[in-house]
Amino acid sequence: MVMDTITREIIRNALDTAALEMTVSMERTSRSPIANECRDFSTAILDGQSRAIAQGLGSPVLMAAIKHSVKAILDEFPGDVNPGDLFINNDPYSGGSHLGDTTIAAPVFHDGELVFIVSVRSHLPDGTGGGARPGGMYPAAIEIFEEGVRYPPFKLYHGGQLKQDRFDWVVRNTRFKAWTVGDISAMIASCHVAETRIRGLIEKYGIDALKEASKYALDYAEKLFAAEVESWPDGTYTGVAYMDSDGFYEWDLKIQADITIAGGTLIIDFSGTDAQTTGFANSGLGNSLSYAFLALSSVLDEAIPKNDGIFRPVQMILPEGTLVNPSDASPTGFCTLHPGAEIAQAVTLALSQALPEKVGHPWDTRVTGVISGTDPRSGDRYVALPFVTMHAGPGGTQGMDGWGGGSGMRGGMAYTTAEMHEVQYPHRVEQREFMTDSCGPGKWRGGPGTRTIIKILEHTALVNYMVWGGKYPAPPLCGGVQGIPNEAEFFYSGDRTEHLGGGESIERWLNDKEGFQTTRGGGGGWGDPLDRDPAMVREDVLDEYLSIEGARRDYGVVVDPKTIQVDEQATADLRKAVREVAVPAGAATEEPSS
Amino acid sequence: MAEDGSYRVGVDIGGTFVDCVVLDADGHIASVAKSPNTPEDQSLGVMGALEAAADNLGVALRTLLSSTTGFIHGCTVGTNALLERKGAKTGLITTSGFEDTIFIGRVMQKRAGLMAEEVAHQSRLFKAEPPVVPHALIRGVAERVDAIGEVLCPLDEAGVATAVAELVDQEGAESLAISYLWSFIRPEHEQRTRQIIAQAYPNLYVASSHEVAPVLGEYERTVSAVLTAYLGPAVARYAQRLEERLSESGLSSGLLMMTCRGGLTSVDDACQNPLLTLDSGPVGGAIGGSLFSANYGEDNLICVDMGGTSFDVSLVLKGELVLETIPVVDKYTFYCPKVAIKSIGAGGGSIVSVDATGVPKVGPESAGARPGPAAYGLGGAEPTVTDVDLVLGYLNPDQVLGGKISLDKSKADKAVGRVGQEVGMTTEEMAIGAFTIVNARMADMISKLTIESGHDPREFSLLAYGGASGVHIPFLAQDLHVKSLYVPDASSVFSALGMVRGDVIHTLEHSFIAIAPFTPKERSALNGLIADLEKRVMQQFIEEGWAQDQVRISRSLFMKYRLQVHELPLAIGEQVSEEDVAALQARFEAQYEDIYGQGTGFSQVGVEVVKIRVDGNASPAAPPMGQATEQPVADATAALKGVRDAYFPSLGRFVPAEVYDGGKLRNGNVLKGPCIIERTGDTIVIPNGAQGEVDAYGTIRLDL
Repeated sequence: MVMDTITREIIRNALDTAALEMTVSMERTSRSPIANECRDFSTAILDGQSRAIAQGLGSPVLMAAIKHSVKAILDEFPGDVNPGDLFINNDPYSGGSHLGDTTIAAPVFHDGELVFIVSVRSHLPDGTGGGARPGGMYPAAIEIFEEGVRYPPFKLYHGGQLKQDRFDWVVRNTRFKAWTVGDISAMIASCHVAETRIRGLIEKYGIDALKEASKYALDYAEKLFAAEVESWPDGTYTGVAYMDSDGFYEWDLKIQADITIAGGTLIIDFSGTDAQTTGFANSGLGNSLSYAFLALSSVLDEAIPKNDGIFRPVQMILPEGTLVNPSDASPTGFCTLHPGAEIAQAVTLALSQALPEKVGHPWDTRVTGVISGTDPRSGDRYVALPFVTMHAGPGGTQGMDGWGGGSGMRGGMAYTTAEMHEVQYPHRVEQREFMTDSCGPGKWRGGPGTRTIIKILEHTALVNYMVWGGKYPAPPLCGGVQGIPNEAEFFYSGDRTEHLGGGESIERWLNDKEGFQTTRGGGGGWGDPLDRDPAMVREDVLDEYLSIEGARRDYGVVVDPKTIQVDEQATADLRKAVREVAVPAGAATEEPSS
Repeated sequence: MAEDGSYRVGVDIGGTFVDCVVLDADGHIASVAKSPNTPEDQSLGVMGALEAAADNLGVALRTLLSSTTGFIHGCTVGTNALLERKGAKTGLITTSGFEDTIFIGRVMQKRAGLMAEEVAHQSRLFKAEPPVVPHALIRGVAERVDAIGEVLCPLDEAGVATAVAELVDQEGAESLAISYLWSFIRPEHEQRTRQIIAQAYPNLYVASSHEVAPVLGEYERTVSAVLTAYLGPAVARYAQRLEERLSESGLSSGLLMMTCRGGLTSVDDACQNPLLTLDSGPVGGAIGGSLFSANYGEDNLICVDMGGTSFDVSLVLKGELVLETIPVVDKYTFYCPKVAIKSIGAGGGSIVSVDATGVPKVGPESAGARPGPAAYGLGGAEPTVTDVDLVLGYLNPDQVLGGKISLDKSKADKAVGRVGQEVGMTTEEMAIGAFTIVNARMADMISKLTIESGHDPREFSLLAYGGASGVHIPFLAQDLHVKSLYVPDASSVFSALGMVRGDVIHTLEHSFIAIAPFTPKERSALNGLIADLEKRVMQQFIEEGWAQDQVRISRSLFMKYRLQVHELPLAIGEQVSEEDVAALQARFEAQYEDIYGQGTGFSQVGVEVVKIRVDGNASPAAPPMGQATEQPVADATAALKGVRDAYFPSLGRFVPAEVYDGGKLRNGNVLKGPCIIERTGDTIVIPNGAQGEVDAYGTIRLDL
């Protein structure tokens, strides 16, 4: 009995290691920068019923979608999943999110029984190709067919044989064949790595021990999760987040999460969410579940394994026909960014009422773009996801300030440096720095926003940009104040400029030395700014995160402009006066400045 | 007994103790000593360990030091200054518009080097740790060079002068770093800035990025420069103090410092490039491993060090230590080739507990040396791995550690039993569970490290050292199916021993970006760069008093597939000819597929060079390993000292195991498991089914 526990624990760890090995293999052998550098992929080992037993490190956004897209494969091939098969599936309406995120899954059989499924989900370099624009993110889309090619689950390998015609069909639909071939091959190789590892474990411990350990891994996570939820205060908490627009003339779209904590169970109900919309900001079911669980994960103890077990004590209500579960064929291209962010924000806002001290910072809103053209240095076509511009300012949480230069996507990604960007693409990064007075004030402030300027060099490039979080930046928590919003500006020859605000997207041809500037806003604060330690406010002034006027206006802290010392008496008086006016928290928010 | 002028001394500073090893002229270990670490001034601890070593030898410290021809030292001053944020107050001068590069940090600045589980919780990770350089000490100046070295904006020299004056006079900077975009392609702006600083403040410590790390990527390059400026003064101060103390005590030979690169260097070099000292401690063991690999003809070796708090693993592949080119220390990634060492918190002091669902957990928390394991009786209530080892009969309950701490098995039983009780396990069951789990964690890490580098643990032998290895590694080695397991003599001071036998190594790297096959112009630029780096490496040796023919030079090109980021080093000759290029492409492809698997090659996208590295090695007159004189004798009966019940997992029970006195074992002795060998400094358990053989150097080889 004792040894059973230990053997199970050892097998559980070995499966985790195998999932991590999949990640390593994928990172090393994939071709496109989005996969091998930015790790916009995720790996998992699932049991025969598509329950995720172990997950590798990668982009957490893809986590729940892996499970649901694998489940769809099993559902759509009843009785026809065989040894040597390997499936592909990118359909948002078969458990996915948007067309670019593609799942490859291989069943592992033992003595004729389906015992495991190994799977990689990765954002393919041109989406899956075939869309109206490179990269698959097309703000003008009103149907999924404009966004890319939809792969219902189908077999790329049948009985161990590559179906070359299907593989070619996938590849020929994309604009970036070398990257696509490379990434899909890497995904397949990664599955093989895990399969080999699982076979080794079966050989060593026997299939029964592995099944037992898988069941144990799920029970273990469930038990720890339920114990944690048990310690939370019972009640129903509502979080509401707004999305700037759907990209297609619909504005101020609402995502609502009502979270009910009752003993060791949790209900997350999105019934209060707006109906699905015309534009590309509908969220496939797999995506909605991923974001809801991500927000939830941030309040969980890190010792709890992130496997299928934690899904069990949670009831998710996602009514069909809403933004979080659209009906067939609506466009979903933007969903991994928006409303993914707002789904996580709504859950976070609800949790912040129940667990103000534990809650993680809300998910960030995005300024995102795709640049494509022909590199004059090589004559090759390129498509750039300019990660160099994507550094956000995450929010503050109890006990800590948001740090600058954070990632909107989190997870294990590393963004490119300016020098790497200039090597990879015919662009120049002219500036990339934090902005003063951009942090959301709070007892614990948000991280600073980042401004980046990029110029196009010696060619004509097609630049698509989208600004979300211009109207509704990431929300502050527990009485904090929001940071400055996102925005962008395009520079054309002849000193012409064009401004891009929240919920707007733009598509322009830019020539040599034309360019654009992006502003990724600051994170929201946590708690009343009047409670922030004046010494920390002074530090922020010294570090130029805050101006002297900002210290006075946002924090009621008076800093002498000559000595840069806090005037204690004046600060106490000012804070007292501000408190007496009794402005409700949040109402002191600055108008967005441009 | 050695004559005058014939000792070599190695001193290694560890987490708890300072280890000292003295070799005589024949390469035999003449003295081994340990002394408590003195974090406030490490040089005191060094002197303490030296006193103790001299004492063991029966000579005065002055006699020992004046007879010493080589003094090799591994210090943790740089590592500690970084971890505790006690480096110099450092200012940074950088390209205007990019002042926040080290904070933006490619998104990973706050999580580089963390475990996957920790990263998943990043929203709670980001305590505002004080940065090495606060925002207020960073100044941007107008200047810009592009990727091909064209000056887009000339250096604003007046701006530099103002920035320097502000940083030093107003902000009180004690040290400055300079890092401009593309400075490794065109360094003039950094060079000019250094001149301007030198004119105003001739004694200020300055680090420029193109000198410290002339490699693509402004984040890592700037971090390299900033950390250099931050740590340089502290390392220099320490080295000066130590040199003074040593020379007052009679040392006349020069001091050599241990580097994370896997070799030794001069004090001057370590002060100018203090990144070399980061994490250099465990590297001593790795060097010992690479020498061991050569001496024993074991080309592929996994070197593991299980001490009090951590378990460190490094690899020797085909006789060479494996290097990582972008190491991480305290979440900062920087450029400085460093021996790849992975660590987890698993050692004799690791605490045993159970989690909320009743599963036993071991570490990563450690009881350290104080209060230490429960059995030490120094007030530790939590059971540790050492307590578990006592419960299971592996350790001798009557032994006295280092002549000071006696073990109390009843305290170990009680502590382990208490935790077991929480989950309905007996003391023994709990101990077995904890022993199995800590071993599995270590085995898991060994697998990960070998697999991540594309290798199969079965192609390796295992070398285990550190005080706790002998008890644990034999069991987990059985599961790893390695060829053999070696536990060397003096395993608890193996790192110091490795240092004392190390080579002096100097390495220079430089970015070079070109797609194969190169144009004649590219090839000539490449060859020019190789020759230049080689000249500079040689110059460094010559300045340190080496003759040219004592230095072995090797050169590598770092190549990768276009569109990918993972690069591989390929050894090259003095120059690269046109034919070499084709051969290099083929070798790259072969090596790539060797690591990442058949069919992973991707030649249609092309192969490119990204970086050149030149290494120089010179061996100080390190004595050879002592010569074997004894005739081998298989019978170990003379060393048998008793029998003790110990637990052997594959038998599933406690069985009487013969206990041998390691000090009495002789060349050729064969020991059949289950049995236990007790030596000064460590205990080795030979599992049932395994067999150990002692060689003339006191190494015990286990066939598992």
